[in-house]
Amino acid sequence: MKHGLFPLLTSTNHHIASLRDRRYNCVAWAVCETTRWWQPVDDGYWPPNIPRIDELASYLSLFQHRGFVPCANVDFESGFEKVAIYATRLGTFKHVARQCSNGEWTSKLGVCEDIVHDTPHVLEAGSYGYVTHILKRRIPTSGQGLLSAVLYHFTRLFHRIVGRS
Amino acid sequence: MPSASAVLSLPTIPGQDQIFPVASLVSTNIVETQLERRFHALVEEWRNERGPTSSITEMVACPSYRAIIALGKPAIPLILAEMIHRPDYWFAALRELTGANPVRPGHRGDLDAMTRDWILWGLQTHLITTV
Repeated sequence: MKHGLFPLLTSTNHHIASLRDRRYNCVAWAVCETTRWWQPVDDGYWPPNIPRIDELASYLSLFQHRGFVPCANVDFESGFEKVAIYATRLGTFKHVARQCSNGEWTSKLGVCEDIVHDTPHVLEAGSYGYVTHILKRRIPTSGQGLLSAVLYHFTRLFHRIVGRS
Repeated sequence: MPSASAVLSLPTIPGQDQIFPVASLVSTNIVETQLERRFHALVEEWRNERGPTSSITEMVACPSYRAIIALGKPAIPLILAEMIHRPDYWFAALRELTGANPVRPGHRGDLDAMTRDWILWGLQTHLITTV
C-alpha cells in the first residue's frame, strides 16, 4: 500500500488478509458480504428501505437499520461488535472498518485487498479522512462474548510479546 | 458459435478476471491501433489513479476515466471487450456513451451480473461477437 495514501499504516500495525477483489467494497465487508458493491449510487447495491443518496447520512442510516447505535470509543467490548465510519472534514463518507471478534479491526480497501489492522486510527489522516462515528450493536449469540474476550486479550498479549522481540 | 445465452451463463472462475470466452470486435475497421493504444494506456492509468477508494463516484471522476469517455463512441467496443477480459466499473462510461442502461435493477452492485447485462447488450447490438 502506498505510504502517502495511509501515512499511519506501518508493517507492524496491519497485515493483508485477502487477494484483491473488485466485487465488494468496505461497506459490503462491514456487513459481512463479499459479492456486491454496497453504495447508494446507480451501480451499487443498496437496501430498498434506506435512502439511495450518496451522503454520510445514508451510511449512518444503513447501520442504524442493522441495529447499530452510537458509541463512545473503539475499545473492545465483550458481547458487542463495532464499526468505525470515516469521513472528510466536510462530512463526505470515505470508509467503514469493522471490529473482529478478537478485537482487531478489518477493512476492505476499495477494489484492493482486505486488511486486518490494530485500530481504526491507523487508516486516518490519509485517503479515508478521519473516524467520525463509532457505532456498536450487541452480538446476539450468548457465550460468544466470553470467548471473544479471551481471544482478544490473548491476541493483545501475543502482539505485545512479539513486538518486544 | 455458441448462443448468447450459453456464453452468458458461464460462471466466473475464482482468481481469474475473464468471465467470457475470447471475443472479437466485429467492426474492426472503426478501431484504429492508435485509439486502442491510447485506450489501454488510459485503462492502466485509471486502475492506478483510483487507488483504494470505496466510492464508484470517485472512481469514475478520475481524469483518466473521463479521458476514456472523451474518446467518444469509438471507445464503446473497446470498453465492452475490456469488460469481457477484466470486469470493472465501466457502466457509467457506457451509459454516458450509449444512452442505454441494460442493467436489471436486481443486478445493481453485482459486478459480474452487470457485466453480463452489458455484454448481452453488446452482442445484441452487434458491437461484439464471440469467435
